[in-house]
Amino acid sequence: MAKKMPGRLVALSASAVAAIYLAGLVSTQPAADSVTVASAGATTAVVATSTPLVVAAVAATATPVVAPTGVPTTAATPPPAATATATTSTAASPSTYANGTFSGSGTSRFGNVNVSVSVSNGKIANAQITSVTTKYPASRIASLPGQVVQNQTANVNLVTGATSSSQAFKQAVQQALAQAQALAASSTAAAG
Amino acid sequence: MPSTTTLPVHEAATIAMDTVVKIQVVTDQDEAKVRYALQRALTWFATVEQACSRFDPNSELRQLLARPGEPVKVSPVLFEAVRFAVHLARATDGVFDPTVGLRLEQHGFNRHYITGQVLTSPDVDTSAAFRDVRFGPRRTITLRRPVVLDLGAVAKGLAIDLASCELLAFENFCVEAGGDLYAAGCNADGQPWRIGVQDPRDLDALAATLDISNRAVCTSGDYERKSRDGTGHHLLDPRTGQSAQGLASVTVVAPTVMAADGLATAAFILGLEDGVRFLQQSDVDGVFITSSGAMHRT
Repeated sequence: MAKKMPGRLVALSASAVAAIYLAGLVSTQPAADSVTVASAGATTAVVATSTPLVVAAVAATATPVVAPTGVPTTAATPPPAATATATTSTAASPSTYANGTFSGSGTSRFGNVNVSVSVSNGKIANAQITSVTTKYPASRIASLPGQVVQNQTANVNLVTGATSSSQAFKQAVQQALAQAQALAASSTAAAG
Repeated sequence: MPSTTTLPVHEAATIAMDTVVKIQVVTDQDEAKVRYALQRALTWFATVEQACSRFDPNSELRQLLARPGEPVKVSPVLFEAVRFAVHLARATDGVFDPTVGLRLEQHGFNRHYITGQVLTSPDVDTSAAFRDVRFGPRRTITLRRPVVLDLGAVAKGLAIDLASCELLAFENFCVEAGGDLYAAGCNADGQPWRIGVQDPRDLDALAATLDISNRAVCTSGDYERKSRDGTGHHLLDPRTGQSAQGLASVTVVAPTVMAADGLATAAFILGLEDGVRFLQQSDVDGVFITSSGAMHRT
């Protein structure tokens, strides 16, 4: 197996990244320049604190993410004639959510995530992080073949393979949506 | 590069690709400049997700999958992501195969992480493979048969690489998404970034640490995403149609996250012996942890 030059894969990945990045620069450079000039003013949803946490929303609906002016959008517009054959169904009935913005928080072994979920027309319009904290444990190195890693207790900056922040974020979104559901249920009960 | 003074740390975060994205920039450069670059970096995640998502019926990938049998002009992001995934498939003789998307759907990996929307693809050819994906001039892709492409092993890494391009002016930064990361320069203490490798069998512990500078680190593990019936994980072996066996996780250190992510996924499916050889041929470093907890480093 693997006789077809796997050594080229790293080079291929690097040239792929460069090709996309340069294509984005070429197509957005004039806009980027104008935004650079204006960036001293308010450009995007940036929380201005002493340690600013920049947040970006993720679109969770049929509406594509609208990129702020001047950011690298390289995606070509797909032909409008194209129709997806994939069929969709929705797990929870969208009508069970009340409109509004709901916050939730999730915790994991490595930190906390707070989110804000907005519901519009009974559907989730977007979810965004309002704050995130990370705390990794001091490394407890299990028995290792001697030479590879020295026993040490220094804190790590990041953990590879740690997916618990994803679980914390899902927990936070679910908590926010539970509020939207409860509100919808109580207003239905009141109307009935 | 290591310095003795402590530099300010700027942070940013977003939700994308079913995970939390976190960026740190260590610099004393102008804050407005840093925040502008952070915003651009975060936007790449939305851009790549919009192009490559298998879970969004309106993604560019889904538009491509809906038009088998004809050349379709696609964006640079989708073109390069699919091309790299197919190169990886060729290099592993199909042990890694992006056309595994249908099987992933059948195993229950078909739910959008925020909307809960479920996508199913009824009209695909179950015998189709990566060889049915053809590339033409002017960034066209032709799917010779109806397939479901899964770019999960490629797209997140590509987004981290592109975000990192936006931050190169700051020299010291890291971009992390769901345990895959690129770390450049030094941390706030002026030292190489210290990366813990998750212990796959004790999620409160680390199995090893790596000191990293200007390198990507990615881990593929059997503990990441379980199938809905709880019996399998998301790394399917196309040879069996089932979850790959034998390894608990593979961590790869490489120049780009796209390569590290793809190579870690491929090595995990290949198993210990072939996986080690594959990483050596690819000239990247790896840490293999077997199902029984033994550790091997290339």
